[in-house]
Amino acid sequence: MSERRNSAAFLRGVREVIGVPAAVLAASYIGFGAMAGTGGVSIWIVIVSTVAMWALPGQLVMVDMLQIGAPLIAIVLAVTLTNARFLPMTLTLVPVIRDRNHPLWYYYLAAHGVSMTVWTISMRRCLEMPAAERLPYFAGLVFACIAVSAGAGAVGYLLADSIPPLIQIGLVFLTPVYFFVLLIGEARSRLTAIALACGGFAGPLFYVLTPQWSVLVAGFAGGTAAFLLHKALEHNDV
Amino acid sequence: MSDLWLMVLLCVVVTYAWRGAGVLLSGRIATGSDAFRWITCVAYAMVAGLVTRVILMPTGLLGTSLLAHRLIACGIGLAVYYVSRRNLFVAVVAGALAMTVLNYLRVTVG
Repeated sequence: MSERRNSAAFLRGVREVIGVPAAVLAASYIGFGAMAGTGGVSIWIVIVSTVAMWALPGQLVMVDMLQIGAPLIAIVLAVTLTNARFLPMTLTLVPVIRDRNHPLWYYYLAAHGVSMTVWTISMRRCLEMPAAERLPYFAGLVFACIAVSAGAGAVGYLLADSIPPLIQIGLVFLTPVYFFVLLIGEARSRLTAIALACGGFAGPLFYVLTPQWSVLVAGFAGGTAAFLLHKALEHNDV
Repeated sequence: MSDLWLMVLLCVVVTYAWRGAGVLLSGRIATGSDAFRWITCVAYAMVAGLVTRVILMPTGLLGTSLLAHRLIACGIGLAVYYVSRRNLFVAVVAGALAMTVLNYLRVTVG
C-alpha cells in the first residue's frame, strides 16, 4: 500500500465533492450563517460548530434555541436527540469502508466526518473501489465537505450584515427551504414519513405551549406518537 | 470559559458520542430493533418540528415576511425539486429566490 495511492484516493474524494454536493452544502451553510448572523450569534460559533459538530440540523437547533433563550440543558438534550441518526449511519458505514490493514482507531477518527452528504456518497461509491482506498477516499470527502461548509457559513454570516434586509430574507430562508425539500423529498420509508408528519404537527403546537422547551418536547411527543402509530399500523398489517 | 462555549463543547461531545457509538457497535446491533426505530422517530420529528415552526411562526428577520409567501416559496422549492429530477441545489435556490422576489414585490409595489 503506497502513499501515492492513498493521496490519489484522497484527491478523488475531494473531487467528488466539488460540484453539486459542494453547491448544496454551500447554499445550506450560507443560510445557516446568515440566520446566525441576523440572530446575533458570534461568527466563531458558526465556524467552530461546523468543524467540531459537523451536523447542520444539530447546529440549527443549537443556534435557534440559543436565540429563543432556552436553558443550556434543554439545548444539549435537543442536540443529542437531533443527532441520533448518526448512530445508524455510522453503524452501516463502517463495514463498508473497513479495511483490516488500518487500525480501528482510524475509524473512530473518521466517524467524526459522517454526515448526510458524506454518508450518501460513500455508501454508493466505496464498494466499487479496492478496500485499501476507501478510507483515504472517505477522508477526502469529509475534508472537502467541512472546508466548503465552514467557509460558506462564514460567508453567509458576513453577507447577512452587508446586504439590504430585503435580500437578506432570501438568505435566511435557504435553511428552512433546504430542510423542507430534503425532508419531504427524501422520506423513503413509511416510518420516517409518519415521524416527519407527527413532528411537523407537534413543533408549532408545543411552541405555542412552551417556546423554550418546544423543540425537545415536540421531538419526544411527535416521535413517540409516530413510533406507536407505526407499530399499530404494522400490527394491523396495513 | 463562558456558558456559551461550555454549551458548544457539550453539543460537540454529544454529537460525536453517536458517531463513536456507531463505530463501537458496528456489526453488533440490529438496526431493525424497536429502540432503534423509536430514536429514529424522535430524531426526525425533532427536525421536522423545528423546520415547520420556523416556516409557520418564525422569529427575527424571517418574522417580517408573510406566511403566505413562505408557504408559496416552499411549494415552489418542492415543485422545482421534482421537476429538476431531485436536484436539491436548484430547488433550494429556487425557493429562496421566490421568497426574495415575493418579499421585494410586497415592500416595493405594496
